Amino acid sequence: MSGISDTERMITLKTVEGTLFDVKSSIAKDLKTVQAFIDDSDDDVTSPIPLPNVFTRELSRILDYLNNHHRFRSGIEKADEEMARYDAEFAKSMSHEELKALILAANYLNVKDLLEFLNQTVADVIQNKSVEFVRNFFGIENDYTPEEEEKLRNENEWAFNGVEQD
Amino acid sequence: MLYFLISFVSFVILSKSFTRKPHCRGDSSGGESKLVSTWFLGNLPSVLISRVKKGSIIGLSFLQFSLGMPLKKKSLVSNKLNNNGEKEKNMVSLLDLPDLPLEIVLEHLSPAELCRVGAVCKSLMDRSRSDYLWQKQMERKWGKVIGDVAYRQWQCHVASRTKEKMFNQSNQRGIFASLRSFSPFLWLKPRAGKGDNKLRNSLPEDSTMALYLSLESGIFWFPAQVYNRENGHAGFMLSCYDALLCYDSRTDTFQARYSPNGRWTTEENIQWDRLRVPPIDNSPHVLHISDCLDDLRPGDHIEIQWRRNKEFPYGWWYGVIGHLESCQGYANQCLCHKNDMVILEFNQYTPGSRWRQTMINRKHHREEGNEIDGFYGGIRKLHSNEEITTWKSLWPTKTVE
Repeated sequence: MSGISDTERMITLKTVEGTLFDVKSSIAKDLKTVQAFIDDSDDDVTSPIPLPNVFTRELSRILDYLNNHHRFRSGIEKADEEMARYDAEFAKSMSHEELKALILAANYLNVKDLLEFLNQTVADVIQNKSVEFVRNFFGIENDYTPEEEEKLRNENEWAFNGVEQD
Repeated sequence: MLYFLISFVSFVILSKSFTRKPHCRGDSSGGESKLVSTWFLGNLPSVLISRVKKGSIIGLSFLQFSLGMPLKKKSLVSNKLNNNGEKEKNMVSLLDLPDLPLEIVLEHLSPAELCRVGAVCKSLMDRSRSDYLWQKQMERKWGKVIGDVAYRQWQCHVASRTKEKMFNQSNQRGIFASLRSFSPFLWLKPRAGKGDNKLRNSLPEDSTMALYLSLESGIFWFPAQVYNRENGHAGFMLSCYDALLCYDSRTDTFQARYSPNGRWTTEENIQWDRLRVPPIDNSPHVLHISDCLDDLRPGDHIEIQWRRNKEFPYGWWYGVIGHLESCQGYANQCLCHKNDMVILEFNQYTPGSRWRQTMINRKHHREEGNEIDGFYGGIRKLHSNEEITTWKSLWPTKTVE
């Protein structure tokens, strides 16, 4: 890899548990929340930036994703296939809980591409699943009365056909 | 201004909660807490501003926590830990997310899934019914087939259904309705009052979602045009006629009702690729005023209105501009475009057929014809390759008489 240019500084991020991550400033640019902070401090960032809403597991995943995508994009040959494979593996490697936690972290850090990808993944997960499944997945309480639910079911009967068994 | 106040309060709480070492306490010289406080105050407004521009507030979830414990000495950090803990009773709900991620998820769902999502809980029902989401669904599936004419027809359809509903409801309320007009009886609530609550949950008649569902279920017959009507009927080869269409979701095909040519004609099992949005926003009984006559040259592709007699509606027929008899047909010697007379060729017919060719005068063409040959009306010149290739793809396998 080429040597670090004068624009390529290292930023240190600190998670909730206190773990420190050294991140290249080019990667940090994708973390728009962090970038905004850097911009506001007039680029004078020497101490670690604390991220009180982000846990080590999530930050490490996010940085992993960004590092890989930067690597794919800057490769000599277009690595679309590899990137697609990586994305598929990345999505599969997480449980639903981890996926949700990652979305929250990515949303807080404002990582646009990852967020788009994660939201698509969620949409794929709840595709063809039952209402109950969606409730459990999103952690939502059912606030309909049984009568209302029955009525909705009847109205939307066409939508409820072809639903996968959980 | 409010945000500034809130952030100030939160800053006070934050600086206290981050106090681990005594010398960091709110001191302007304290490294870490200064970092946090300036970052918080400086970052939050700009983050909020940038988010507000995008239509969602990223800081809101952060603020929600700070608002949740005003002036309490609970640490923000430890509170978050509890909320994010695995399998905790108060699981992190994705409804707490700002609008943006949730909207993106909903955008990726199919219509059936959107309906199901609405059955999950009430706030998701409101979201899943937004016109914005359903407009996207409309464009995806119905964009090629539903145009302005259809939307206007839909407005009429909605208006008549609303009137019908109101009429039915007022009939139900019956005596109570007439009594209520006397003020002493205002306390009398009609029994149908409970129905009002149910109405709130049901879909608004004029929403985009209602349109989509009405199309899917075949309740709404919409106006569009059908190529080669009556599927291979020789009399209609390479023409396009207005019809009312009804969708059958089980077979993914359409049923058409053609404007009466003396009698109603229906056709079934029409595929998607035989439909189009009417290119001219006019009734098929109205003559189109051609605006391309001076521009017609041999080789141009056109559509022309034609009808059997003056009571019937027009259909649009595909043809090409041909060379005049006097012209040899060589491109560099052809002067046909300077001539007042224009030859229209319908090569789907055998040479010698009376339908193969007709001639019009470009200087004053409106409608030409007679009861035997029918009437030739307005002309549209085809510019888009898409339209031309569609017509060509419908070319009959054998020429027509």
